[in-house]
Amino acid sequence: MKDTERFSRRQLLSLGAAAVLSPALRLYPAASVRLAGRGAWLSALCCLPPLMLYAWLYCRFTAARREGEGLGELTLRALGGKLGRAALLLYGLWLLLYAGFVLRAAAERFVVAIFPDSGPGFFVLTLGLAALLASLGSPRALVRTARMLLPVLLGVIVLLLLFSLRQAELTNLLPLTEEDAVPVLLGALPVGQVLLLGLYAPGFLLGGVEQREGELRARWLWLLGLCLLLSALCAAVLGCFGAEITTRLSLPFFTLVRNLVFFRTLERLEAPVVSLWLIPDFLLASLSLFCAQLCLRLLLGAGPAYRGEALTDMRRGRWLIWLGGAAAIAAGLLMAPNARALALWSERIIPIGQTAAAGLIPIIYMVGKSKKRL
Amino acid sequence: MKKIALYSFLFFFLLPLCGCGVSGQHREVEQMQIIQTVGVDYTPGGVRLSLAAAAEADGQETPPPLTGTGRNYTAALDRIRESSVEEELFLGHVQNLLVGQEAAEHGLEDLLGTVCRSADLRLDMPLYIVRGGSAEEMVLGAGSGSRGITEILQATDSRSERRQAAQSETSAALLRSLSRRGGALAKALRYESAAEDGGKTAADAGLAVLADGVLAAWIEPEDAIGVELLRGGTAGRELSVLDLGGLPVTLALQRGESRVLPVWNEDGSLRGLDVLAQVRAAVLETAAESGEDLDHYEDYLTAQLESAVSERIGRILRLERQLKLDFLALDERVSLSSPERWQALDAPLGELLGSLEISITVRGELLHSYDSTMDGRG
Repeated sequence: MKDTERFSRRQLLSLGAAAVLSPALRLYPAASVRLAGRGAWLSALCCLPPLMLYAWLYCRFTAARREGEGLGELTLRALGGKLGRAALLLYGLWLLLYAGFVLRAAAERFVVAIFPDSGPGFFVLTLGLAALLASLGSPRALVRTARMLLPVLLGVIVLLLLFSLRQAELTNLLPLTEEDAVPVLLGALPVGQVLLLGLYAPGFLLGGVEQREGELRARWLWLLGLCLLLSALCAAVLGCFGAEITTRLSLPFFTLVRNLVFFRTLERLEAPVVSLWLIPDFLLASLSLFCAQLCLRLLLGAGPAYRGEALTDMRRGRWLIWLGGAAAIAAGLLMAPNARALALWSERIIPIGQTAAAGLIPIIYMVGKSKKRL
Repeated sequence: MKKIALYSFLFFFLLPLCGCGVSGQHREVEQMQIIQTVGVDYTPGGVRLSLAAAAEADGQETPPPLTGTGRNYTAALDRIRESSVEEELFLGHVQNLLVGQEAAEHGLEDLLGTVCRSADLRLDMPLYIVRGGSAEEMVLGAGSGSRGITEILQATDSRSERRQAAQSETSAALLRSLSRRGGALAKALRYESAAEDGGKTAADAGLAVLADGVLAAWIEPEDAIGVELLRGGTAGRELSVLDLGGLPVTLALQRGESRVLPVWNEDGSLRGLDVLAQVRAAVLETAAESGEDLDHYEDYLTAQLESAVSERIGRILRLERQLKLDFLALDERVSLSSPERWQALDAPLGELLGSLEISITVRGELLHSYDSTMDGRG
């Protein structure tokens, strides 16, 4: 790989962090509160130990990679010919479906929060085309974009959290007793599957990152930071609304923003914030599409590493990127005709798929290890 | 520098996505009527809405309120939109929600659910109940010239904030309290003549107790001190007591706080509640002569203060017992002090109140007097 196509581990972790902010604000507060009630603000912290264990297994696996190898190449090497290709096919198809879901979910947020009289089609198409353009280019551009934009997103979240503190009430968060322990642990499931995505998906781009010491420590810190952020976010939403109202809201975080008044003069800023959240949607859709095309092209035996090809270059299986983009957009347009169907995808189908996709990685590692291929 | 340029570019790129520019959904502010107060009344088989807008500029008359009837909130709003001469009614800045007494007697759950689902209305919008009247007459008639119902309510709210008195409950707080314990308190207003110019105004009418979303009782304005104390604290209120000679004395409450302590039986059941309140007041107005025994006079006034506060707290707690409803959210205070025991209780506090031993202890303190006859004793 050319040095100009390399990027740093920090940039890749930033991409993971920025990407998970999209499903986190869609799914996490409401889904966790439904399971854990007023204790949901602790759920993100409860999923930290199992996720750290997962990160440890993940790092053991990726430590076996050679120069230019990502998770896709490692999978192929660990599982061997047919099994490896089957796993890549599964990952490729899953990530395409997931990219379609991200497009549809982002469109729904626009429809619900800003354009109630419109449909999701236009947003799915526009964001899908932007993600397709990103996947046709260099992965370095994608991770560097994430690195630069993450501080903006985090800054906005922290600012909103600070302003929401005034409205928060302690009685919406406490008291908690031993009886809340099981619900709080159950509430960790939605946040856990969101963070798993941020851990494993960027792994397909690892080919562009140089092997360095401290992989595990970096991922643990990444997890700790995000768990703390998501806990604070949930505490703000819960503290302001209480569990009873949070579960009734489709987009609790954006409803919270709607209620905030800045310096007694500025209010109703939910529209710019919803628009800003297009960035994580774009990064997540692009990441999913990028990883999907990498898996599918690897499956066909084409070297998927980016070599500065033009957008219209169809050699080395690059036609698959266009096909994948079209498939993701089609999936986004067709998968959920209404909000109820989208909720089914969001709360049932996607979490199962996400957990299965993430759970497959330690299995691949163990198979590769047992067959001495790693 | 490059980063700053990128962020700035990105920010301006994202702004039109809010729908304010290129989407075709943009609206000119001159063509919009910005609604600030919404009144909701019951009509047989439906809802009557009254909307009051803000004045367009300083010194200008407030636009005339709009009214419409429909089978529900949305239908009534659609009817108003159809008949409005304004191009667009903008509900994103609604500040107050007024509900007529009859509508409150028929229940607020549907209305609060609509507020919760609405893409326009804010959940932190205060909700008031119009005591003995309709929201429509208050929205249409209160105020004069450039001061409409919105300005009157804003002034009332600012006054409460300055005096650190309890402010009106928001729609979110009401909905939460109703979902959590079946009861809630909303501020009540009465449509009456203003003293200064003979116009009509929205005067404090105490509090409305809601049980399962339905109006269940009223609490008089003078008992609001009891409510505020039982909910944690109060300040900036005035209280009238009688002195040794039977003359009226006005006390200004400077600070009041309370603790609600649960008393548990050995088997873990709740035996009672100890309400401990502490109030500090200043003498605002008295007819006492300077030659009187001031220490004795002050002791007497302190006892009167304690008795008056205790009486008000007692009245509120009796109402809770009578309605079997914890509209004061005492459960929150008790649960924070003993979470484990609280969790083990088999019934909500409202249902237990009738069988609980409740003791009220009030400690009063007179801080100083604004009256020279008392402070001038040397």
